[in-house]
Amino acid sequence: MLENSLSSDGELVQRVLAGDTNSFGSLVKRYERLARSIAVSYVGELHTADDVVQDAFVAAFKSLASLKDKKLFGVWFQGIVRRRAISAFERLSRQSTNVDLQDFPEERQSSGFTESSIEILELIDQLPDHERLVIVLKHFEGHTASEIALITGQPIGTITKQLSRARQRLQLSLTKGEINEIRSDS
Amino acid sequence: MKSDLILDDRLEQLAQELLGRGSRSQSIMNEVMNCKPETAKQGVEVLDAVKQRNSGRLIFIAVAASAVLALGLLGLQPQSLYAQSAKALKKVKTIHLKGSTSEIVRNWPAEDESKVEKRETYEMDAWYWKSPTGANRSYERIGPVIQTRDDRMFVEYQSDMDLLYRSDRNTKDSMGRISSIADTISSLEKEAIKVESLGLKEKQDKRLTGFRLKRRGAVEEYWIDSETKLPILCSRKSMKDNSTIQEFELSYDQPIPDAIVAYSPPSTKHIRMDSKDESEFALHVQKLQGMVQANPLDTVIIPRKSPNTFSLQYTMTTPNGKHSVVPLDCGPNMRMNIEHFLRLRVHPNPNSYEWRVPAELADLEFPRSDLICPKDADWKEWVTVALTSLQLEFHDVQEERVFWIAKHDGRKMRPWKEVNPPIVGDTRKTGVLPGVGFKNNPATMPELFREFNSLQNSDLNGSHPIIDDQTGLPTPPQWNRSEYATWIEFSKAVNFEQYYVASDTPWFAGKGSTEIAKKWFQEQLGITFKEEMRPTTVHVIRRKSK
Repeated sequence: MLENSLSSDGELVQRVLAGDTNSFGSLVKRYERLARSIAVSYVGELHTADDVVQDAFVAAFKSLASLKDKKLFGVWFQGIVRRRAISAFERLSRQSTNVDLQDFPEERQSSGFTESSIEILELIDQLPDHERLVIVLKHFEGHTASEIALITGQPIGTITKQLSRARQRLQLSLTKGEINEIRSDS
Repeated sequence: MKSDLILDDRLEQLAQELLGRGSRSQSIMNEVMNCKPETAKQGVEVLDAVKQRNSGRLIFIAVAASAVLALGLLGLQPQSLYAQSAKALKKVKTIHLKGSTSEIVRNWPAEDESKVEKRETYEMDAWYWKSPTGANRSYERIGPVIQTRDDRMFVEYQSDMDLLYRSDRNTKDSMGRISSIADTISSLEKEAIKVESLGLKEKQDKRLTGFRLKRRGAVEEYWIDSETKLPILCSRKSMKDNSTIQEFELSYDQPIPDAIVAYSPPSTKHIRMDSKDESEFALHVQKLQGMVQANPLDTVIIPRKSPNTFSLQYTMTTPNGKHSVVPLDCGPNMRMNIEHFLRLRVHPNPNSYEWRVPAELADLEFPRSDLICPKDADWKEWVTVALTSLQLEFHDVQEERVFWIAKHDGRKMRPWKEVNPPIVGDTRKTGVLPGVGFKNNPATMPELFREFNSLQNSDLNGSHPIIDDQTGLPTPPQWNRSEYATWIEFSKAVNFEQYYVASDTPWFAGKGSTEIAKKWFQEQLGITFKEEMRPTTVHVIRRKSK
């Protein structure tokens, strides 16, 4: 278990392809929150998001052999989640013909997320894929920079730079948001 | 520095909220285990791990299917033998599996790996049967883990963790899977499996035909009853080191021990459900179970110790399956009044629109409490107990009431996306007006009628018209949760979209709503209503006479 949790994505993918399906469970645990965060930011509520996440993992498992660079599982998987979340969102939007898309975030507030978290979710979603990945692995999964380097198969220096850049972007966006809020209040 | 801290706090909060409903990893893996990688190369034996993980349940079906398949491959009248075996398996009423396995199956992951006793083999004992009501039931024990299924409810007790997991979402069981054995066989048929005959042997009074096959890194041996064509002995050994993965014996149509039928898991403070909120309420329900064991036949109301309330609560069966707990509470922000009680706890037996409640009584609130009654208690009994606690009672009145007999004019239905409510607008901006769409979801015809009946009685006066659906239009099947674990899975399988008739449900309540409804149903859906007076029963709530 411990061994799997510290294995790189590339190793886990290879193991799954060699027949060890349980290793896919480690990938699920590693990326469940990332997937949920992406799905929620599109579909706005957890029930549908969870279905999107489940569908995305199953789709990833089925097409795992098509992933050329095995160590890029995290980035590749984000694409799968996003495509499925967009489809789900479009479906929801079609079903709710009266809902103005701009109103959609308001609905999320009744779905188990605080306003603060919804804002952060949206900002994380705007990050480049690699930066989103490191932010999630650090802050949602509690990995250190060296562990993230091991997981993603990248040099630790790259990871620390990506983390730093991602945090700067988030802070900048938050600050901008606060300023706008103050302006609109006054 | 300050903004750093704020960012970290907010990320931490988000991380917690993202897992607020608990991890779905086990559910995801269950689904993954049931599929193959589409582009996997020949020789990539992904299902090998599946078999080990699900050794207790899935293996049985796989084994039975393999056995039937292998009989065919032996060249022994393959068509008729397959047909006979499949037929025999479908006819069995109970299955008993006894043997050993090298791996424990847990639907809720072990929370403390250090407590897992590592052994080479674990004893397996499983029973599958149908209840008198036709529900699939099973009892499966593998080492320290006991799993039971009763229709939709799945319960897993892990004695090594002293943990109880309950779920009504993932209830697929082996008995149910037997009906789809042909699918399993067809998937195995695609593989080229060489079968080696082991000849015949006698076991007790049975004559068994044996064969061996190698696949997915294991050597499998099966012994089939030559007469009944049912698999009797099965084993799987690793090709690598010849260690036993599973071996067990199957027997059929034996009387099930009372202890198995009546099994209920012990009480524990570690209860898990599919979400954290549900787990908290389930723990509360378990405590209540202990409080009513002395008088199991009574219906009682137990007050909660303030401020004991739950954000998710609904009528829940106690872990031993003997009582229902009806929460007389709506959550942290609201206590339950009579109207909530009728709509949330009593509906649909009887339907909320069958009640009449004077306006001054509808808002009477229950103290935060739980009503506990025997599981199969008649609704009148426990509703009476609940009302009595507020010095209320109900009596039935027979009266003539207006029914709208709904007929369809036979026109071709328009695409549901083009059938919009009479008023198109956002309820948050325009307010809730008669005719405005309010659910933001497409609706089926039964849903439209059901909502109409319910909304018309929004003031609980019990005197509005009731729609009787005689349109003959298709109605969607019920979601069978034992067959489809998720709504998406079910809706895809039955193509649920074909049953949608409108893009949203209109709010048909308030002044003028019946006329708007009549016009809308006719113009948009070709449905007309013929009014008819029918005798019906209205349940009327009043203050209890002294």
